[in-house]
Amino acid sequence: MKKLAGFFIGLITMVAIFAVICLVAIVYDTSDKINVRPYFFRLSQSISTPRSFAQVGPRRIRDWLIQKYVTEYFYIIPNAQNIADRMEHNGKSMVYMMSGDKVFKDWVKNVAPDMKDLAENGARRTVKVFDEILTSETNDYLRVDYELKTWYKPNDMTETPTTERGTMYLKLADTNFQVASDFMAVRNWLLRRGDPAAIFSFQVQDVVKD
Amino acid sequence: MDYPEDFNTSAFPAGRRVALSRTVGIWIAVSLFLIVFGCIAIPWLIKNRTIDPFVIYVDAPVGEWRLVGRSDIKRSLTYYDAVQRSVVGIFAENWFAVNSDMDINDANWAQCNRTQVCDTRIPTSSAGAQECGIYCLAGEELYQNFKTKVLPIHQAIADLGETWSLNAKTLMVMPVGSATPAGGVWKVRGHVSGRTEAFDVIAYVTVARNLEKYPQTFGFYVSDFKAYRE
Repeated sequence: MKKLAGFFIGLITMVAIFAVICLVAIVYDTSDKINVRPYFFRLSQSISTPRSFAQVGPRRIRDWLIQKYVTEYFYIIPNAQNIADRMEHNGKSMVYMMSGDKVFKDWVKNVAPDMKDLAENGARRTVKVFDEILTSETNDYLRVDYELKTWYKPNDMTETPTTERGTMYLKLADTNFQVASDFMAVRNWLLRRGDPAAIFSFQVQDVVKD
Repeated sequence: MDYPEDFNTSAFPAGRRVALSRTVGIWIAVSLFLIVFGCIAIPWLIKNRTIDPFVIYVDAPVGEWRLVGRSDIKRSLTYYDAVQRSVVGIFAENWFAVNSDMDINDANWAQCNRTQVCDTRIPTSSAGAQECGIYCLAGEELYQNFKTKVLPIHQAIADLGETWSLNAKTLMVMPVGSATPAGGVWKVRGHVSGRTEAFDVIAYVTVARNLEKYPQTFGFYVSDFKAYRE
């Protein structure tokens, strides 16, 4: 009888220790989940104090994200693997992350192959959005004017880059551009050195080029 | 008392109840402590707000977004990262070195016996003042490309009395993707100044590894170098 009582007391003690461990784990987990994580931006044009998402405003965020998208869409570095990575359906490709399915397939089929050829031949291209990004009065498309500068001859310091200007019309899926609501996922993405532009709800549903 | 027949007869008949009530009392006290601790800790943690900012650098004109200032991202510099940066920086300096002294230029641009000359010293930049500055850090194909396509231009520049020097203080070496023990791709920015002209350059440099041929740099060498004038 005494042995049985001793056994039960031991059992109860083990259960109690387990309960305490669970409680501590819950408290620890709770403390991690409730952090508030504001997002600040530092402007490159001038020295400025960091600003919150609300201070920057959705319009400016939209313009930055569009500039990012157009850059990802057209830029070339003299490394064919870079284009190959951008053609993959994964987090390495910001075109994939920021495009709808139809737009990405179209980019992979019609835009990326030429860029890959240029990259293999040593070309470099930079992208700049100029003029204001305007919303069309008749439809949901945004007008984006861009400038491409392409260097075709590597190691030739006399080469002047070829400049092309074009216009593209973008249809966006969402106009709020909020940060994704799963803070832990966002945090992990950023800490794994994921591209910060990917944390916003931004997706291009259609691209029409002039 | 029926000693010695009833051997288990307790000396203090109330002892068992006293011991039991003490045990129960201790457990109730422990439970009470846990409840009080939980009641204080959980609401406190729920109301507790830790500011955990992510500062994002946005270079809007070139579409570059970068996370800055996080202390919890692993930033320890690995040996292959550090050595590759060094190789890339020194190579870029040697590539853009055109001196007014042709002997220094010829030494920098020369092709040497890789095992006899390159293996016996640590490469440094010092504006191409070293023998075989380019060859010792370049892959064979890249060196031949330099010799046939770039060297005639550099020689013409030197013949005109012009000089080029990549200012080490302006040199920025950044990875494109991530460096691995087998090599990586790097972006180099810098400012070249000369006697009559000055310009900014950007170069994309591919680093590969061959331990047998390039022991002086732990095997790292430049397999591709493509530079553009900005």
